[in-house]
Formats: sequence, structure tokens, C-alpha cells
Amino acid sequence: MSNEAKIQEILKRRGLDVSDVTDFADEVVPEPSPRFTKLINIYYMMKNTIDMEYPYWYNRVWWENDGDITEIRRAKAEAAALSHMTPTILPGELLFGNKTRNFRGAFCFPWVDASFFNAAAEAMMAGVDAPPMAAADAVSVVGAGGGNVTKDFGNVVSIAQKFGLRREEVPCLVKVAKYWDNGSVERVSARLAEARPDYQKWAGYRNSVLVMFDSWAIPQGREVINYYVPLEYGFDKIIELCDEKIAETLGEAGDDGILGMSRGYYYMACKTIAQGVSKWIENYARRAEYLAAHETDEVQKKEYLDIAAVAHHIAHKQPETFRQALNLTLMCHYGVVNEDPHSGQSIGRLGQILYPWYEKDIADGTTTDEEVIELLELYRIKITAIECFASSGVTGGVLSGNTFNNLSLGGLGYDGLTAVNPLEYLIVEAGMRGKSTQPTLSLLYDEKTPESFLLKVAQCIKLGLGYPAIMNNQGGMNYMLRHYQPEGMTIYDARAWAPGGCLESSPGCFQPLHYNGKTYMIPGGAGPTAGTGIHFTGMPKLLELVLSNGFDRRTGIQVFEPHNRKLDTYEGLLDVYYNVYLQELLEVSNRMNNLQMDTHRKICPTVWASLLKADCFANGQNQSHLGARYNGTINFESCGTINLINSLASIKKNVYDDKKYTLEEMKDAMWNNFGFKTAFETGVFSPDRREATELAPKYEKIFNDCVNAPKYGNADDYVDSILVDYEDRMLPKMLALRSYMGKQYYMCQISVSTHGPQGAITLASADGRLCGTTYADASMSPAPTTDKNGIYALFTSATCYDHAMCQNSQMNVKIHPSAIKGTQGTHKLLDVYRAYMRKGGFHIQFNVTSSKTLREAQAKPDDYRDLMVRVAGFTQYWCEIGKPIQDEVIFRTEYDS
Amino acid sequence: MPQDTTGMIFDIQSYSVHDGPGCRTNVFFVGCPLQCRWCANPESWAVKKHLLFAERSCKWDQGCTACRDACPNGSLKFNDQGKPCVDWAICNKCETIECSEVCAAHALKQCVRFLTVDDLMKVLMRDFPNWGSNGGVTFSGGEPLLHHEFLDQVLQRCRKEQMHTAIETSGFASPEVFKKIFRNLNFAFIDVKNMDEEMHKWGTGVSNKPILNNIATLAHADWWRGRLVLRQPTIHGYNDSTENAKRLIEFMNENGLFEINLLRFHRMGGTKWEQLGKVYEYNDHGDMPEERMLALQELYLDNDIACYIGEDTPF
Amino acid sequence: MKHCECANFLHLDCEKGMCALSKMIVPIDGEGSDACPRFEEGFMCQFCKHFSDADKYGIGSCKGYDKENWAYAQCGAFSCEKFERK
Repeated sequence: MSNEAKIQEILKRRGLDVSDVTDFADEVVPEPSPRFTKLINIYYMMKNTIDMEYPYWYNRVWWENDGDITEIRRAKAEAAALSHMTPTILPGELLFGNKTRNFRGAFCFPWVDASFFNAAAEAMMAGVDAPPMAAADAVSVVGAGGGNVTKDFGNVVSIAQKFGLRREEVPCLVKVAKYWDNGSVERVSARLAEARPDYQKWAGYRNSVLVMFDSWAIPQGREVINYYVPLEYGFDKIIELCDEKIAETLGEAGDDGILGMSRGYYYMACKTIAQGVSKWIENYARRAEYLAAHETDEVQKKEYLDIAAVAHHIAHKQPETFRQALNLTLMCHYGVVNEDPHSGQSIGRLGQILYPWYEKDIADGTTTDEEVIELLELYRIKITAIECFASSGVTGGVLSGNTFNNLSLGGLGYDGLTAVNPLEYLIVEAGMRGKSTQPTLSLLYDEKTPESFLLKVAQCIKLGLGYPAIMNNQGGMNYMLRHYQPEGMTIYDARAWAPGGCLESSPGCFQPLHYNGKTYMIPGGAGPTAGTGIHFTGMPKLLELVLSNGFDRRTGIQVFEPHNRKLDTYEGLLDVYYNVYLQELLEVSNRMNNLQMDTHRKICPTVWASLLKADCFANGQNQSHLGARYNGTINFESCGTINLINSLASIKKNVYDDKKYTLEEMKDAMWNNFGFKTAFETGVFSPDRREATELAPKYEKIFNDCVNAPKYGNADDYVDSILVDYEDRMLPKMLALRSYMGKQYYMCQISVSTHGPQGAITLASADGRLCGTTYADASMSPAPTTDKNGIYALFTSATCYDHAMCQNSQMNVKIHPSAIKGTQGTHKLLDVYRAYMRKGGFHIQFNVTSSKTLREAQAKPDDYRDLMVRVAGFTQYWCEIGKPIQDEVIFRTEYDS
Repeated sequence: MPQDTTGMIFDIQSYSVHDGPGCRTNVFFVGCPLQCRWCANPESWAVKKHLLFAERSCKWDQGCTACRDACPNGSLKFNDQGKPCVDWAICNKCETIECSEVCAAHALKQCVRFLTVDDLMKVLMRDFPNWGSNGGVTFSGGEPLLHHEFLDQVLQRCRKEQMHTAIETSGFASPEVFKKIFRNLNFAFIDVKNMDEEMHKWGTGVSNKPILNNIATLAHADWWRGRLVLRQPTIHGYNDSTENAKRLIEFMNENGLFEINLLRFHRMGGTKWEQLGKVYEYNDHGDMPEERMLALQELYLDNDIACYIGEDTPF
Repeated sequence: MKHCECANFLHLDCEKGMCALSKMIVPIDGEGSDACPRFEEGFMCQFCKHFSDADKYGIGSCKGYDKENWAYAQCGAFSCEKFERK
């Protein structure tokens, strides 16, 4: 008898209520399936790779159809590109499909932006003409950096310091890119932007990196996909429906003189793309049959033939098994992420979507939970391998290499009851066994969520994988009802919301799925991209510019017109910040992004995504024409909120309230980095390192007062009230802006990985943050080491305003594994996340890894290839994220006991 | 003016998960009547403000000299390399600790805070919604019973608010104080460091008699409705003998007590001793071998006593 | 002949693939990149009878479809409905 059992017996005998005494020790997580292990080990060896099959065919067919109606022309190009790619099936796989022929494959989109390639064309061709390297040099170094190809080697060219491209494909890339020199989204929108009188202002924001990137860089994503149409009808029926609709609408305008005619073109495009995707799936069937014919191992041969059977079926009909349904959603997903540079194409509530097939297969005894878990493990590898090629700065710098394909769990169903079902437990289980970065999981926490599911989620978090993140279901619903009220948001649709991308709350809806003689209301996305608009803006940098009279001391650019105000009151400072500089930035940036996104929808209207997204097919309009149900999805992305709030608190306290220093003295200290070396000089981007220069003694007093000024995260009303004021001022500004969709904006308060690069361009700030150091991540995480009163005080600060005013907020917490050991620890982890949810926090996520481990991993990346951490809103392999972000994660406050 | 009673507190830790059931807020009081040779928090012995010097946080190696004139009594000096050194003979007499105000790295720290009952209740009320259904507040130290007047008022307020309360104590107090405090508690850890009175005196500086008497009284008191778990920091060569365990088992069985939590001694307090300018004699011995811990656990279990090791507790 | 030109070559990334017969990972370049005796010509434009006149970069002409167009030798052609071996 174990000691644990003996203890239980003694306690019972002694009359102590032991009903809640269970096992003390953590349950052992079963090993993943051998298939998963084999394939993930291959994954670890893979280089990010781009190839030219898709761009070649898209380009060829696009130009062969010059003169056609744009959406039809684009459908033809996309269909040709998808259906010409080489299908790769590896032995041991059960699920088929890939973005491209490569494991971690992607490709570039010259029709979106080609200038990078055209500018480099000559150099690239010179590389091709150079004599081949010796065989010994043709081997890359594996290890540090994971799958990133950061420099050229052998016959491989590094693109954007992340992807490898075969040297023999370079001439094709150069040739394709030339076609788009004048007509890419980037070029066309730039010409329009330059026609605006305030273009130079925009150029100033961009060149000073006050605003981080352009909308065309990743024009789609941060949204929730909708698998309903293919799952309900299957491709043959979709094509049939298109024919019916074409007969009904082509040449008919109805009562709509502007867009009525477009319906016919829309259905023609839908038919073309449905045929293309169907053929693409059929190619996998053919390839599987080919491989089966050459296979000598009978087991493997049968597996290939099974894949062929699945592919044949779902290329035409509504799926009839769980496996078919899962594989169909996967192919639909690849179709969407191949349509544009995409990040954050969320899967949504997959467990609720696929439940009808799971329920039937289990009832029929045709599958088992273990088989389902295995499929879900393999699904994780497929999603983890989704890569995105965006412009070079964006791919590595902003995304940290993740593509944020988020899968949601929990929440409420159409009936207002918990949506948790048995399949969702298996999705979590597969995430626990099959450790991999994607899909990241998000629990939509609701008081109606079953306790056992909440504990299952806590068990998974404890493994240190960074998922699931916890999101507030009622908070999300409130945001939906608040923000989309002008578009007629209902309580039913509000229940279908899910995070698109990391945590961009996106509207959804339920649609009736008919299967197995029953009708199921399945959820899915009902709005286009919900994370495009004014991109990451360094809020502390803007404050720096207010103090420097609009002049960027780093680059020498006069970013804003000098305001020439004395700033002799705190209110006066805020007035310039909010009403002059920020207001101008919002207005100018909105126009530029509107031009970019409108150009995108005119040149590259989404075709496949427009077939899927709720209401487009019913309305006969693509997303560009507001075909989706909700369209107020364009946002303003802030970065560095907490450093801004802390800086304002320090200035208010030290300059205006206590009058310890003049504003000039404060500025002098900031411009001189408080007498310390900058992060660039020390190579450390966290607050731990501050090397003194000979100026240090001059500034040590003011530095000390800045460090000790009230800080967010300590339940200190002095500073928390500044945060409330910030949120109160931002909301009406958002509602006053109008996106290219003609709808109001909202605040998106996540930093992704931009708190690294935007911290890098910001001089020292009044909160004691030194020049170049990374901002506090997210929007609710405290600046590292400034939260002195514990996590409950932090929760109090974070929930000082109503989170449902914005699309999201973000809280990253690091917990030492020892604090939540054992089954009691699982309950205590649930206690802490539930506490935050009940206070109205929108989102919380955990890193359950000690700083010690992270330091070791930074020193020896090769030994930690599979170590994962939670960064902004996603999980990523430690070795694939940049050093500034690594430093920031290490120095986050660690909560232990 | 009972409202003005203050407690001297050196730390309030939230999300404390190993100091009683569920998630808790742990309030650490200053001052302890015992002076254990292995103590992990020696800075909390004296009931006064004092300086902590966290050398690892000090930025002297990065050129910081901000504390050069910070001590009016001349206790802070730089050594040849430029590293600040504290003259503890001077520093230990200081009541003001103004030097801590100049250190932006918070390497020079003064932690003691004077809180009124209202101040502390404000913190506890803030944390209350975070604890979950079985968490609460734990009073720890130092020795919370030293501050019994303050603690009594706090506990009465906690009871009114229906907070779950726990204590971690040496149990070293007069019977009156002990009863006053314990009647309002829901959960208690009381340390039994050694069953042998002489050994107890050697290790802690005080007799174990008042402690054992208090425990025995509690075990039979009709005013106690809480849960009592005995605790023992188990130190190799000091109190890990079978003989000591058997005597404790006997004591527990006599008094109907059946839960004990053995905390495996590990050398952690050394740095803090250095920070306080004291010599830590448990720097190189006293660590408990794993198998000895398990053997002790077996012994308790065989004698019908639920024995938990370290953090593996059923609460 | 190279592994990467074989019909049994399964693409993995820019430097390697897998042999469907041996299930071994094989390099595209350098040592060990030469095909084995079980080589079967793969599905690539360079092996298609509609592909011709390739320049030194492998850019040539595709006459397989209604409209003639340029193409590149390394392009995969398994999925091309007009692919015919030379």
C-alpha cells in the first residue's frame, strides 16, 4: 500500500472529512502515439522553406486571364496554384495535406509586395551565377535558431533571415516578381498614399518606427475561419449550388445598383475555387495511390490507400467520419492561409464543430477515444508546421515565427449552456501528450464551464507548454454586444465569438449542420480580419515625442510638427499627447491603412475565405463587399501601454505633484539615459543590466525617484487611475474613426513580439526604463520587477477598468513549477485563473518554467530544442525567438511560494 | 484606542500555496522569541527596523556608487573593488535605515512596515476574492503570537468577514495569549522542534514545555474547532532520530493528534544571515537525506499518524 | 541522377527529402545526394515533353496548355494534368 493510501486511511479512520482528498501526485501524462513522435522528430529537423510552385502558377494564370473581372480572375489564379502544387504524404501519416510540398513550407506573394525581391534581383541573380560551393559547405548548422534559415548556405538562399529557397528557383522568383513591380498592393497603395497631403507625416511615423508596419504586410488573419459550408454540403453540392445561384443572379442587379451585379461574379468565383480546392484534395488521393502501388510493406500500403479513400470522399461529399471531417477542415484551413500572407487564422471551436462526427463514430463503435487522440496529436503537427511568409521585418520581428492558429474550447453554445463536450477533453489531452506549439489552445472561461474541464485545462497549463490561455467568455460576449451593436449583434451570435489569432476577439455565429439525421448548431467566424488597421504603435515612444517637441532624437526625424507648448501642467501634457499627437497619428494612419486595405481588396479580393465566411455565400458577396455578417473588425494596435502609464505616473508625481524636478531636468535625464549605457551597448534588453557611465552620479537621484514612482500592478490607485483615464480617453477616439469598411474602430491591446523592436527605438522613459530595453509585454503584464505586492494586487490593478471596452487585454504570468505541484496544485492554479476571470480580466496565460531553466536554455539552445514558452499570445519554441524577447521572458516576475 | 494598534510586518505574500489549505495570503510578522540555529529568516528575530543587503541585486559591478554617502553613521564603505560593505556592528544599532532610500536596485532594503488593523484588513479584503473556496489568510513570521493584541483584533475582524484563518507558530506563548488567539483560528501549524527539553533549549534557546502544554490544552479545548497540524523542520543530526519521533508519536497519540508535516531541512538561510552580519552555522550540515525522511514517514504512518513530507499535503 | 529528381522523393525542405522506398532522409546536395539503382524519373517540368528551350537558369517554354507560357525546369508536375514524359 502506498504512503498516500495509508494517509487517506488514517484520516478517514480519524474522522476527518477526506472527500476532497485525492491523489497528491500529478497524474502521469501518457506518451504521445509513436506516429506523433516520429513525425515531430522530423519536424524538429526541418528548415523553413519557400518554393515557387504556387507563385508560378498563380502568376501564370493571373496574367493569362488579363482583362477578366477581378474576383473571377483571382479565383482562377488561386485554383490553378492550389491544384498544381506537389502533394507530399509521408509514411506514417494519417492526416494528409500541407501548405506547400515542404514540411514547414511557405511561399512569397509578389502580387502583395514585390519591391523587396525586385530591389534584390540583381544580387540574387549574381548569387545564382556564382560557382557552386564545395560539398562540405553545403551542410547547414542545425540547432540554435531551430528551423530558421538565417543565412545562405550551399545551394540555399536565405530569404528574410527565416526561409530557405533553393538556388535553382531564384530565377523563377526574380521573373515572377518583375510582373508585379508596378502593380503590387504595396506599390499601388503607396502611390495613392503619396497623393495625400499628409503623406510625409505617415512616412515619419514609419521611419521612426513609431508605427510598426503596413497593413498589406499581413493583410488577412486575426480572424476565425468558418468550416460550415464544406462540412454541410461537400464540394460537389457546393458546385451545384453555385450553378443554381449563377443562373439566378448573373446579370441580375436586384435592388442594388452598386453591388447587385457582383453576386453573379461572386458565385462564378466560388465555383472556380471550389473546383480548384476539390482537385487539390484529389491530387493527394492520386499521390497516395501512387505511393501505395510502390509500397512493399502491407501495413503502410493500406495506410496510403486509406488516405486515398478519405481524400476521394472529401474532395466531393460531406464527410462521413470524424477522420474525414477533421481532414476536410485541415484542407480548408490550408486553402485560406495560402490565399494571402496570413497570420492568426484561428481554427475556432473545433471540438464543437466536429462533435457530430465524433458522436456518431463513438456511438457506432467505429472509432475509439484513443484513435481520436492520435488523430488530434497528428493534427497538432500539421498546424504547428504552418508557416507564413510576410515581408522580412514582419515575419521574424513581429510574429516570432508563430502563425497563431488558435483553437478555442469551452464558452457557451447556441442554447446558452456550456459548450464543453467530450471531444474537447480529447483536444486538451492531445495537447498534453503531443507537445507542440500549435494550435495554441484558448479556454473561453465561463461560470457554466464544468469544474472537471477547468481542472483538465489547469493540468495542461502545468506542463509548461504555455497553453491553454484563459479568456473571459462573458467579457468577450459583452465586447461583442457593445462593439457590434450597430451591426445588429444578437445574444446568440455573441455566444459564438472566439479569439482570432492570439486574442483578437472575433465575431461569430451558429449555423445549422445536418448530419446523422440530426441538426447541430455549429459555431464559426462571421467577420473578416480582426487585426488589421493601425498597426503596433509605441505608446511610450509617442510620449517621448511629446517631450521632445515632435523630434525623434534617435533618427533625427521631425515626426510631428513642434507643438511648442510649455507643458507646465499635467493636464497640458495629456492634452498634447491625446488630443494633438495621438489624434493626428490616428487620423493619418487610418487613411493610409484604409488605402492599403482597400487596394488589397481591389487587387486581391479573398475568394476561398469569402466562400467560407458566414453569410457571404448566402448574400452572394465576398468579404470585400461586406459580405460577412459583421464588418467593424478594424483596429488600433497599441504597444507598451504599461510603460506609458508608469511614465505618466512618474512625471505626474516627480514633476507636477511633488515638484521634485522640472520637466527640463526629467528630459535631460531621459536623453542621457540616466547616465547608463544603452541596451545596444550592453547587449542585454532587460532591466537587469544597467552599466554606469561617468554621468551616472549626476542622475542617480532622479533615476531612483523614477524607479520608485508609483507603478502599475501594485493596487496603487495613484497609477491605476491613470490607466482608467487612458482607457476612457481611447474608447471615444476609436468609435470616431472610420475604417475602409465604413465602420468604427476598437482597441487591440496586444504586443505580439513588437515590444522588443519598439522598446529598441525608444529612449529612456520616465518610469526608469532604459534606452532600448524591451517594453513590458502585452497590456496588463507589469513591467518586469515592478510588481512588488504580489499577484492579487496585480489582478486588482489590471481590472481597474472594464475590459469589455476593448477587443482584448493581455496578462502574462510566470509561475514557478513548484508552486502548483500535485493535484492540490492543480486546484490552486484553477483558483488563481478563476480569481482573475471573476474580477473581469479578459485574458491570462502562464509560463510554468523557472527562470533558471530559461537561462540555461539561452546558454545551450541545442539542449532545449523542444522547450516552449508563452510569449505575447502564443506558444513558441524557445530557440526560435529573438534575444530581446528571451530576456524579457526571463526577467518577468516569477510567482512562487 | 484599539484601532491604532499596529503590527510590525515584514512581508505580505499573496498566492501563498503551501501554508494552509488552498490559495492564501501570508502575513509575516517581525520578531521571534526563539533563536533557532538553522533559522531561514533571521532578519525577523528583532522587533525593530533593520537593513537587508541583497548583494546579488547590487549593481556595484556595473559602476553604481549611489550609496556612497547614504549612511550617516558611516556603516557603508566600499572595498578595494568598489563593492559596498556593511559594518554590521554599527548597522545593527540603527533604527532609521535611511540608506535604503538611495538604492534604485533595491539591494539595500528595509522591509519592516507598521500597519494598523485597518491597513491590514484593507489588504486582506482586496485579496479575499482571489483565494477560492478553501483558501484564506495565514499569519506567520517571525512569531505572530508576539503581536497578540494586534493579531487578536485582526482575527476578530476576519471572523466577522468569514475569512478562513490559519497560523504558523512556534506555540511559544502564555496560555492566556495562546487561547485568546486560537479561539478565532480555523487552522494551525505548530512547530515541535524537539521532544527533549535540553535539546530544544540548545537548538532554539527556549524550553519546549510551554509549547507542549499549549498543544495539549488545545487538543482538549472545547473552544477549539479548527484543524491542528504539527510541524517539524527535520534537521539531520538534531531531531531526525527514531527516539525523538517515537516520543512525539506518543505525545500525539496521548492527545488525539494525528497530522504532522515534516519539512525537510535545506540550507537556504545562509545569505540572509550574511546580509545581517551574522554567522550561519548550518552552512555545511543538517541536510536531510531523502531516505531518512521516508523512514520517518513510515514510522508515523505505522503508528496511525498521517505524516506529510514537505509540500505533499492533502490541502 | 539525384534523389530529388526521383518519383519516390518526398519533399521535406530546402536541403533534404525522404525516400518513399527506404524511408530514409536523403540530402538534395552534396554527399549522398546521388540516386540509387531504384531511381525512377520524377514528376517535374524538365521531364515533360511540353517543356522545351530551357536557358542556363532552367527557364524554358511550356506548350502543354492552350496558351504557351514560360515555365521552369524544377517545377513539380505531379499535379499537372498536361504532364507527359519526354
